[in-house]
Amino acid sequence: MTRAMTLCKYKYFLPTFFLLACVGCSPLLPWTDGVPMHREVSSLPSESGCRIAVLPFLNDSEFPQGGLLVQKVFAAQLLSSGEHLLTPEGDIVKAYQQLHLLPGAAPTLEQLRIVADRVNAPLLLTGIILEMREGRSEHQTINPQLILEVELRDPASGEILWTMFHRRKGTDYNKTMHFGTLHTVTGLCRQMAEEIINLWYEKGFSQCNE
Amino acid sequence: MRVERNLLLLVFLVLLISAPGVAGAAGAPIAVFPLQELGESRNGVNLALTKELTERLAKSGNEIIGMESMMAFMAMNRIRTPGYLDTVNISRLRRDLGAAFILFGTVTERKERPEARIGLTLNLVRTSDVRTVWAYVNGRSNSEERNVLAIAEPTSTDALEAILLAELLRDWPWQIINEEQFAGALELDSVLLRPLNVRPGGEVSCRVRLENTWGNGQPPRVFFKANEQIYPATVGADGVTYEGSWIAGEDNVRVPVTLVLDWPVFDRTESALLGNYLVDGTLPLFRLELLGAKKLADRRVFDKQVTIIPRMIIRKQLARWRLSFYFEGVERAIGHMEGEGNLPNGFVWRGMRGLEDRGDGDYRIQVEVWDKAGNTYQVTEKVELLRSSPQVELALTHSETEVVADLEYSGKVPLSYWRLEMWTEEGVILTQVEGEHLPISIDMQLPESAEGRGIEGIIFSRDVLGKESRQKVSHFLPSLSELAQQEKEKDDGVSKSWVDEF
Repeated sequence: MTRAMTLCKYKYFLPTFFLLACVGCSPLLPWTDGVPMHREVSSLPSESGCRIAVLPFLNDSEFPQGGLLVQKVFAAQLLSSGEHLLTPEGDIVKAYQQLHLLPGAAPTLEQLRIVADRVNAPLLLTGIILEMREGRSEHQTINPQLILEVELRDPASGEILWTMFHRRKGTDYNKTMHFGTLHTVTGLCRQMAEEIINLWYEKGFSQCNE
Repeated sequence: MRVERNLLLLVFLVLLISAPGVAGAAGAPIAVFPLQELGESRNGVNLALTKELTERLAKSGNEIIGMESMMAFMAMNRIRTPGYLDTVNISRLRRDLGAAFILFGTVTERKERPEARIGLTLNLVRTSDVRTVWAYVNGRSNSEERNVLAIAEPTSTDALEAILLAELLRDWPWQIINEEQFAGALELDSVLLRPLNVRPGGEVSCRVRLENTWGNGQPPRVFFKANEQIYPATVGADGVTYEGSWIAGEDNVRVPVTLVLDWPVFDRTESALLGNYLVDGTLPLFRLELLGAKKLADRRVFDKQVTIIPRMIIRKQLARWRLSFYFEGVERAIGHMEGEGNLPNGFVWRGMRGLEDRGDGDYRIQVEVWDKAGNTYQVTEKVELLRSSPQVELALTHSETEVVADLEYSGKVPLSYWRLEMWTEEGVILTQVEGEHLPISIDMQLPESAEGRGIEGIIFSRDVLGKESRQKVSHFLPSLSELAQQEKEKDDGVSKSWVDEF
């Protein structure tokens, strides 16, 4: 190997390394496979303010207590992303209990309206877990999968204002080798919640820390 | 080598700058609510991780409310579900345990197989406004913690827990907590502690009104703490006013008073400093100086005015004072003056009582003071008022050739100076003499021309108080023959001259 060949070899090493590094640091899957899918049924109330009540998600999956998991993760992410004023979870549970709504049961529009009135929320966040499962991947690792539909509702009527459909699995976030892959349902849910909320902000949902 | 060394230094500086800040101790009490566990947990609670989280937070400098207190609170309020509380119970937790924040958490997943994984959500609620101020969500699995050389990779959920806890402490909202630590759980509406100065053995009372209300919650036992002694407080009809009283100690010390609220059922005690009082048994000693009064032997005398200067021997705050004047032989004060606070620098007395002038005589000046604790002290000084000018008594006797002047002084105030000048009608000086002491007898030679005519003179005197007087002297010197005739008439008992004239 001549000295000229050696120099030529190193000449392409650094640009290649930086290219790989830039790909690895790029944003996580902002928009793939047509999701998140956003739809505006009606405009958000102009005076909704920052207060929002995140209600338990309905769980159509086999994952035990997945509805509570997603509810807590979305509430935390709303606070972290936009410093929204969250209705205490205990107040929501209390309102559900007063309406004899069993865990996992879907409230009617009238019940949603009553809940919103009792917790004094100008905006409701509800949703349904269409799929939540811990799939298996190679080397006995977990590849969580989550399909969500999230809605912003009018507290006065319980009707849907905005809706968002989202679907992800842990390997969607893989960058290189095994790095980037999410292996927990919680981590995947947090990532999806962040993507949904950020998309809402792009669509005009107001942050409270601006 | 130099390049490598600089590179190492740069890396070290970058790591130093990006390292999390050292957390300071925060004084806002944080209640860690038992963590909820979703999934296949037996009872939906994870006390082991709650305990670990509590210890980590306490070690990092947070003020954490004990687990025993939390359990007692949950039992007392029939709370059976971990992970969340409603607004009412959040307020109760603030009221009963003094929690400034409540940390709620949920273990969203926790499984060992096929790979260990754990998920955790936390949210910190500020109890003053029931607002979630911080939230944390994270999940970790073995696969996500792999490193290149596979060194120290976690293999269980316990190891993943440690990673999560370390991460949340790096993200811990120290600023929010530090801002809150200045807001106390006890909110005082009004405090009335009296007296603030008390004599040893005196009674001290305190009344406190709180803004806190206990509602149907567990009311505290309330005490006042003073001088390391606990005194029970009685609650008023409104339920938020507490009163108590106690006897002050014997030592002259400043005593802080603290309100103590005790919830034995929660093993919790809150206290607030209310103020302090001074136990004071020292007398307000002082003395009086009388300026303008001349000290004569064992008495003080003045003629125009006397300035009374009080000098505090023990300097202390006074509550009030009184200045009184007594005249000799009269029991009641002929005049007095009172004031609040400390004594004035001085009083000037011109020997008058309003428009009434008692005249010369012996007076008693009495000053009484009371300090703020009620200790009293008085000083009395006697002083004599003498306004009259010195009067020198002169007696003249004369023979054929001379006149003898006898000067005497019987006033109460000694003379400091006198002068006698005598002269004939023709202006012949008979004598000029001065001195400090009386009596004295002065012989004056008469010229022949003076017989049957008059002599004149002046006596000037000044006493030790400075009062001066000038007394004119005018005396007729009869002739010797007339004097002999007068003597004879005295002997006969009949005046010849009268008969002639008759």
